[in-house]
This record gives sequence, C-alpha cells and structure tokens, in this order.
Amino acid sequence: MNGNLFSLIQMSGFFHITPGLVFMWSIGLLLIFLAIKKGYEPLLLLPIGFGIIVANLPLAGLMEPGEGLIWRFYHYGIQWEVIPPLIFLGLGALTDFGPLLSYPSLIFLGAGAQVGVYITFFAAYWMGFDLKEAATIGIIGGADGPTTIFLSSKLAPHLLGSCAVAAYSYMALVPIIQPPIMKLLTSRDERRIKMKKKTKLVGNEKLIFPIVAMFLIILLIPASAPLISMFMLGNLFRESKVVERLTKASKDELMNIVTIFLGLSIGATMNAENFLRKEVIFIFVFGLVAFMISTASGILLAKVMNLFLKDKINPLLGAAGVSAVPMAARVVHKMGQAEDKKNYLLMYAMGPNVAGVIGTVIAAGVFLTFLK
Amino acid sequence: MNDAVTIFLAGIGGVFTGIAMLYLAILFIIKCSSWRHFTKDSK
Repeated sequence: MNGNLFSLIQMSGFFHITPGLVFMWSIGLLLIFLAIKKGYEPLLLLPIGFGIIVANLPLAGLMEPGEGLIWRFYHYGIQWEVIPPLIFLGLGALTDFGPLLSYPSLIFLGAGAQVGVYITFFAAYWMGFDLKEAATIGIIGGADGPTTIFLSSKLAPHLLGSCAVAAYSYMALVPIIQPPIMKLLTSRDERRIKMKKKTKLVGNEKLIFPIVAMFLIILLIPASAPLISMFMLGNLFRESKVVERLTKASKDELMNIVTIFLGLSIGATMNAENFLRKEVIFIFVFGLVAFMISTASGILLAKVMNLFLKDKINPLLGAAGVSAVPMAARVVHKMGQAEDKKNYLLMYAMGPNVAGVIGTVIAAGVFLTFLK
Repeated sequence: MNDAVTIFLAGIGGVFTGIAMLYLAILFIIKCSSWRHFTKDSK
C-alpha cells in the first residue's frame, strides 16, 4: 500500500519540480503581469507567458515531439511557415499605404532604419554567435515580431522564444526607448520642422501599389515571397473594396486565431534548458542595441536627405522607419507636438512606418538567401 | 568573417535597392494616375 502511494507521488509532477522550472514559471508570470497590469503587447505577451508556464510543468509533455498538443501548434504553425505569413495577411489588410504614396521620398527612411539590423548582425557574429544566430538577433532591430519569428524559426529555432520575447518587449517599450535617442540626435529647430503638403492621390494608386510592390520585391529577393505575397494580398483585399468579408476575416478573425497559436507556441519553446543560458542575456542586450541603432540610423538618414532636399523633412520621422506600427509613428507625432502644438506628424510618420515593415522583410529575405 | 562582411554589404545594398525600386514605382504610378485623371477631366 505504502509502495503504491509512493509510486503515485513519484508519477506526479510535484516530485519533478526543479529550480529551473520554477524560474521559468516566474518568467511566465512576469510576462502575464506585464500584459495585464502594464498593457505591454498583451495580445502576444499573455499567451506567451501562459505558454512558458504550461510547457514547463513537469511530465505534462505538451511540447513532446510528435505527441504534445502545443508541439503540434508549433510544428504545423511555425515550423511549417504557416502562422507568420497569415499574420502578414492580416497586417496587409490593416495597412494603409496612402501616407507613403502621398510622400514617396519618406520610403527611404524605412530602409535607413534597417542599418541597425546589419550592424547588430555583425556585432553579434563578432561576439561569437554563428552567422545564423547573429542574423536572428540582428533582425530584432527591425522591431517586427512576425518577421523575427519567421527568420528565427528557419535559421535558429533554439533562439525563437527569446528573440520573439525580446522583439515584442522592445516594441512595447518604443515610447521609452526611442525619445531619448530622438532628442539626442536632433536639434530643437529640426524637431519643429513642418512638413510641406503631400501629393494628392487622385486615382487607383493604392490599388496598383500592392501588385507592383509584390512583383518588384519578390523578383529582387525571392526568399521574401512568403511574407510579402501575403502582406500585399491582404492589402489588395482592403484596397479593392470588393471583398469586404475577406478583408474583415483577414484582419480580425484569422489574425486573432493565429495570434493565439503563435503566442502559445512561442512561449512553449522557452524551456529551462534553452532559456537559462548566458547567450539569452546577450540576445536581450543585442536586441536592444539593434533597436536603438535602427532608430538612430533612420534619424541620421533623414538628416542626410535634408542636405539634398529642397523641402526639408522633419528628422524625427526617421525614427518611424522601424516597423513597430503604429507605435513608432505615434511617438514621432508626440515628440513633434512637444515642440510645437501645431505640428501634426502622425500621417507623415505612417509612411516610413509601413516602409519599415517592407524594409525588415527584405532584410530577412537577404539573410535567408545567404544562410538557409 | 568574409561571409559576415558579404552578408552585411549585400543586406544593406539589397534593402536600399528594393526600397529605391519601390520609390521609382510609386513615382511612376502617381505620374500615370495623375495623367489619366487629367485626360479624363479634359474629355
């Protein structure tokens, strides 16, 4: 009788709790706390936090290859490249290219902000990460969650959880991380620059753009096809105005459903063995550095452009070149208004913001072309 | 190290080339669109 009782206790999870598991639970609980109480990217951090906890419950086997429930979500959703492109379909349906088309020169700021990705890639490689790991860490600087997940799942799956959490954490912290850099790199006069009137869109520009952009980007970087094709399809749904149901399904129902599976799967990849390593600290530090350099490089490019442009652009807009949509654009607008209440930068900032999404996908495509 | 330098340069070059192509495409689309709008108005 006593023997049976003892083996029952041995078969329970309580008997297999380790300090590493407890630490992971506390990480999961911290993310849930930040999502609920602080409102930091709750749509992602809440399921990620929950995923971390359940995947680190001993003997539950939710991430058991071939058997575990969450392993199936992860395998068929992320490893099979299904979820990130579906998120991009929804993002495309949510994106308005109008501000970009109205002020085309601002598109270059979306490229400028990718410089941080490559500088960090180089720095991470120099610090001892291999090329694939360094690329995965560098892409955090693009501040684009789905692209980070897409690239990480292909190049360095063991870093997926930490890179995704770093990317979404820094996206949530945009209003804290970006303003000091913006202030440091711009003068008061520069922050007060008012943008000249935009080109008025008169025809089918918004309808034609996603088709043309899809052709050009995929022909240039074929590896970017899964993300760009779905992004532009979602946008075509939106701009065609003839498939309202599909547009709504892409940006609401489908997006919400895949977000649940995405968050849960990512959280579940973070087990004590993968996460409790000194490399993870480096990933968070490098991710932050990447994000800061991306912000700075966008602003500096805007200043360089001002040397050649007749109508000067507000260099704050360069900070919106990272893809944290629309948070980065809002921060730019707020910074502009802090200097001059009549300076409305939001609509202008949305241009480089969506260009940043495209820029980050191209950057990821280049990494895949060389490293896959 | 050579591989890293190649990827670094190709990456920055690729991103700026892609964005420059989109820029030219946007200018072309706007030009065509406004020309069509103008000709439609003049009829």
